[in-house]
Amino acid sequence: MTAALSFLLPGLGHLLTRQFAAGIRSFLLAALIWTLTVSVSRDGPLLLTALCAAAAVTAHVGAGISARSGAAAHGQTGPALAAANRAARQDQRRWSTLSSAAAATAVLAVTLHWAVTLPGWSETLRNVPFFLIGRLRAEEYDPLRWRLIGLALPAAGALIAWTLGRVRRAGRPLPAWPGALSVTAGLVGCAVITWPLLMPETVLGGFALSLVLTVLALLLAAPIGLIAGVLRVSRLPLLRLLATAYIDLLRAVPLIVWVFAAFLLLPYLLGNGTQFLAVVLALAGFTGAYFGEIVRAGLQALPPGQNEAARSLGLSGTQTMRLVVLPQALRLMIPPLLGQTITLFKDTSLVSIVGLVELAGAGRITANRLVTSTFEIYLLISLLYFAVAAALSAAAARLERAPHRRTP
Amino acid sequence: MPRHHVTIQLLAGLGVILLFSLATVQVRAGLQAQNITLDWGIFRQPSSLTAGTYGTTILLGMLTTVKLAALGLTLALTLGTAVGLGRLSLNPVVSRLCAAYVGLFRNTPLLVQFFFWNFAAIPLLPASAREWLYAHKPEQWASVLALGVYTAAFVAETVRAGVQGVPAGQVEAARSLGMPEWTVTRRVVLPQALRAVLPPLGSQALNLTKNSSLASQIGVTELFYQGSQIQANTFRGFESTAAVALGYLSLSLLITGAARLLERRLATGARR
Repeated sequence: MTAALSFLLPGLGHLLTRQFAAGIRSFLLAALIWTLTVSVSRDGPLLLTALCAAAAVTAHVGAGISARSGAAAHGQTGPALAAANRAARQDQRRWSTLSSAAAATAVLAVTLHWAVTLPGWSETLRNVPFFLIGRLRAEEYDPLRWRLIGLALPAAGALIAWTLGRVRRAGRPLPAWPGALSVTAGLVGCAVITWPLLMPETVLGGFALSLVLTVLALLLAAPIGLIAGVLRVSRLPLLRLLATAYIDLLRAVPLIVWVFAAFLLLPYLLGNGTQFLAVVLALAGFTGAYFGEIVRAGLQALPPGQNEAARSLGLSGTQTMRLVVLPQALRLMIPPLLGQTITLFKDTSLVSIVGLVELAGAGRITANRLVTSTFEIYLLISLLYFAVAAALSAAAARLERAPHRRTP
Repeated sequence: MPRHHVTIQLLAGLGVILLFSLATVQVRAGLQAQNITLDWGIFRQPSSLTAGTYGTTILLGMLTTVKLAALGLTLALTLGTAVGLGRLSLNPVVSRLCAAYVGLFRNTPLLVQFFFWNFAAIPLLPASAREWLYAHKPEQWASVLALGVYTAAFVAETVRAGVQGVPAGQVEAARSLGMPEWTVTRRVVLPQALRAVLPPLGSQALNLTKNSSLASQIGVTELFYQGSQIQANTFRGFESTAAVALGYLSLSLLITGAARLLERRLATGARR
């Protein structure tokens, strides 16, 4: 009863001093914190109850103080009114920040505590190997270990190349060959390792399969997108028409339909047992269309003077594109291309509809098998996807902030 | 037109025609090897899934897709505008929470979010709400929620960019006229931002409609679901997939056209 009445108190001062928006905000905040405090104090640890109570007190005190400074502004005139108004606004801003921070901390702490103490975690964590590589026991996975190591190779290559790039930018330029060598080694390793995966008896699963699908589709989609995008702005009408038709058709229909259609129909074209390849092609074709649109936008964003200057120097259309336009435009395209790659990584979850057990599929299977710990399983799966996608997003955002950094 | 341009175009056209005919011959041969012939009359046959013919089934699926998209878009626009404005809030707690919302929902696959709302979140509801939901197609509400919440993250980014694109002088001028904060947002900033965000919002509406196909995975009887059910019931995979693709294609064209019309309408309003 006291609780029910108590959340009416903050905000009352605001309403009396005719600050309606602030009053409603205080009411909502207090109602939220009070329900939380009451439910936590019923069957929660002491620490959380104390935290919620502190948040409630902060909200009450904050509402009271900012209402009082609002009231002080009433009845004043002239410069005194302006000063009092400014002080009132400052007070309110300060206290609303503080009380919303207290409320957010309380809500997050209670939610986190609730999520961590769910009963199904031990069972969920037992299935982590299945989520990661699609196998439950390590022995089952033994003959494949070399392949996993190989999958780490391109990642290591990229890391080395990136580090070398950093060193080079910081001090004197290093010779370019170690970076080039490590990237080449990474790509060769990637090709050697992923080739067996194109065989019908796909052996990888889970998170590893999601990554493999992303890499394979990306390797195919990059050339598709480049060609489609360049043709999309070509001066030859038939080529432009073909590229436009490809890009628009692929983008107008959802990926799930393409994956399903490719899974059903492409094996007729490519021979039996090519279902995995068909799914990769569907992912790559779809992403390629989006890449094409990004490439087109990048090409059109370049000032036309570049094209005209190159042409007037006597370069042919192909030479202009290859030597002048593309190198500059590609730099502009990198952030959106990275964003589309993140989308591709997320979209690999769709291949579970045709029976491939990648991360989302593994989660679904486990959730159906265990029945009890559904929430924990999907939370864990989401976090795994989130970790990779958020890292890539952060990289894309950083590139976007420094788009014109020239390499020496 | 130089001669080699003609040659290149002729070669490209011939290549595409050749590729298509090769694909057609191959697929037809493959289908014949399994004793399957294409039969487009399937859509006039009585349906075992819904009332009417299989054609009606496809149309009913499209209707559900449109319903999902409309509800999802309403939720996405409301929530997205609120979160987008919240990201610009002077209160650092609110702006950071809104940024976390955008990051969280943009960086997880939509399919997993569908599973999450349908299989993980609904069972956590209090018993009375759960029972009401179970009696009223829970998977449809989960789909609307998933679509709306996911797209809202993208809408929020669009709205934020649109509001930040309004020149600062506009806000300052409105303030110096003595307008209260909320009136400045409502009468000066939002109308100008709306015009800037309309094209990206149109493409978000299109994305949402296409994404509604994922609802099939939790059992909503929308277009893709009906298509795959027809395939399972009649083994007419080619025909049903083509019909589904055609359905989405026409929906996409409709939305693109509507967005363009709306844009033009608002653009003339600006000039007047």
